[in-house]
Amino acid sequence: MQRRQFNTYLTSILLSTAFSGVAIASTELSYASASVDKEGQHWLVVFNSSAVEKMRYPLPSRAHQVIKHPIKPWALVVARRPGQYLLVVDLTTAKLVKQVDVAQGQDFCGHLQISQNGRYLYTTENTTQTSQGLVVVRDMHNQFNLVQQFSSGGIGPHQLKLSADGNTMVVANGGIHTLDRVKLNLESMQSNLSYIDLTTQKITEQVALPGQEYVQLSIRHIDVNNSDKTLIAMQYQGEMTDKVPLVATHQRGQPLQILAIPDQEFYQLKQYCGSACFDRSGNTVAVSAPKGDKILFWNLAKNQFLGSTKVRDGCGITQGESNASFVVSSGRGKVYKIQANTQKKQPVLNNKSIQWDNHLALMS
Amino acid sequence: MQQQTIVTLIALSSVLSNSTNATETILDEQRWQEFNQAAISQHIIPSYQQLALQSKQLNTKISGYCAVPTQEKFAMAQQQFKQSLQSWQKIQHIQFGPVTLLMRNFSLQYWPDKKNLGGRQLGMVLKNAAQNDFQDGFDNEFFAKASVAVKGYPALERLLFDKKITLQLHSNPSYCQLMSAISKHVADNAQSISDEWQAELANYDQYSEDDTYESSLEAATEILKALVEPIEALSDGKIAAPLGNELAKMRWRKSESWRSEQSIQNLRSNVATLHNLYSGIAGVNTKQLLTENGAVTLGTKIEAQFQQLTKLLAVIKEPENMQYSQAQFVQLQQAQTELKQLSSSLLAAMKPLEVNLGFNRRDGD
Repeated sequence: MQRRQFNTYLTSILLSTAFSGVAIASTELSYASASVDKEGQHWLVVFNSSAVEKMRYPLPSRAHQVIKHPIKPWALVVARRPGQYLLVVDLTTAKLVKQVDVAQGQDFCGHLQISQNGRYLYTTENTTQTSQGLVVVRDMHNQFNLVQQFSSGGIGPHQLKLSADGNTMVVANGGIHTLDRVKLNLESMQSNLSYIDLTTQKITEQVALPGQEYVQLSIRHIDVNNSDKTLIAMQYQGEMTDKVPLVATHQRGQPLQILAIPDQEFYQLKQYCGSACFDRSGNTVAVSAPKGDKILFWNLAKNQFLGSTKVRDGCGITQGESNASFVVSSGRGKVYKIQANTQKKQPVLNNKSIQWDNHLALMS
Repeated sequence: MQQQTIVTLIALSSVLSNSTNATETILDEQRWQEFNQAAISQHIIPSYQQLALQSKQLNTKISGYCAVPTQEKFAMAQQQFKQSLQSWQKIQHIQFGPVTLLMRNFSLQYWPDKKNLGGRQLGMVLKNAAQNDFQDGFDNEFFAKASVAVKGYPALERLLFDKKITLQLHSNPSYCQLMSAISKHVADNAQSISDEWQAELANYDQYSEDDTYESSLEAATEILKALVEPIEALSDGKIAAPLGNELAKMRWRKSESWRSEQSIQNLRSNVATLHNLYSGIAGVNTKQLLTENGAVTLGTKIEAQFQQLTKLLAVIKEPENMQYSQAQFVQLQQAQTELKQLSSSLLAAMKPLEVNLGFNRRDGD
């Protein structure tokens, strides 16, 4: 960290402690996201559905996913790739519980999961020089010490998600070898979705897009519903004019199911999808496309594209309060509730001094 | 939305934003609306009108040659191609509005063509046409099914300038018909985009959450993106990619319009039109807004950078036999450096204007 950056960081910590008193008990749903302010300072921000800010914690650099601990009042936030920090922050005191470091020669890849019993922390990481993917397990009951690490099943792992029973880890291996975020293998990249048995650490199933024409599709973001259906959001590294699947679902033992996007929507997306999210019922899904300023919705039960909503620079998505509802955050400082069936958006908050980062998390 | 809670949130975060310059004026919606109207009426619409006109003239010249195929008329068509291409280069930076519908931006110019799709597709169309004594013409149905790589300026450039393809000029009876049909397709597309901007103006009359733009600032952001974002792409795509890191490794065939020897001229047109968008629009323009917002020094610096770059590009020549000398190589490296510097300055200019070009869309994961 540069000295000036560190000073900003230090000042921010001092300021943030002044706000610890704003954490108020409430029954309203609350959400969290990494963000950046106008001065370039990165923050973990927690707010509720009435737009009341509940907590703000300074981050040393840009972060990616935030997750709520299932039992303790903690938010865990991990740096974006190539990441060097993972912080555990107490939501009631806005104090740091633990800083988790990454082993030398490895980087965090921006995503994390916690076992249902609240004990194990799972992160996607990679070997810096090769981008060879790893799933790393740490024991939160034992100083966050390393328990084990094993192959994620591919290069450039990104999002990981536990299966409904918590025994399998589903990993999106993006397939791209990067050094300092520069992509090095776009001609030969191979992405896949890997299912890993957490007891044996063995890959039990692996799927990839079929055919040479899809080789430059990178599976990056996923969600898994209660029936263990995986929703997949992809990014395509080939030509802007190629018509390729960007969203798909997968049920174990079956081939990938492509979710069709109408042409007039597809060519606006610029081959790039951000977050993927199931609603509470597990039947309706939302995928963000920040380069196309769109959030897209499908009804899976009817296998039907429902439509899209314009959200400028919209990327973070989490479940809303009811079936087929979602909460979406944007790089323009906005948060909306959106009903997938009508695609109508309702503002939750608008704060131009903040840019919400890629992912939004439901905290309560 | 409960107003009180928003106020609470803003109040909380404002404590952290106190270090911003307290004297800076935040532009109001009215000023942004004036900015949009000036940019559209003086820059965007006239440029599309020029593209439509020049594209139509190219179709006329090509059809004229096809009716009476003389060498002189072919040379005139080639000359008109260069002029028409430059009219496209002057509006290539606009990637919003009607040009984005139905992939017309890619249809007008599919580039970079890393896999030589244009060469392969054009070769296939000409071969099929020659073998099947193609008499049906290249109609709308043909263009609806055809690859984007055979629909626009790069395909016409190949048909007019590529020595391997022009060998078929007299031997393939469909050659002229195809060339003429593509130029008509380009002209029609350019005219449609130009016409549709009249309807597009309605998006700048009314702003709300449910409209195309929710505010005049949001609409202005699209225009500013068109000013700022292409600069780095000029450096990376149009110079660095064909030039490479050392003279021995330069591959000018990767440049944008090497067949018609217009790659450098394209850069001159690009910089000139972006310069116009920056400070050449009467009434209100980006430079003026920087001045009004207390960023006079930065505004003047950007103006000087545009001028310096224009001077530099004026003396850079198209390469001879696809090869530059060491001195010319250095000049082009200098152009890259200056473009990068200009890009940084323009990105920095977004801060005093309080414009957010995008966070997740520009650098996501």
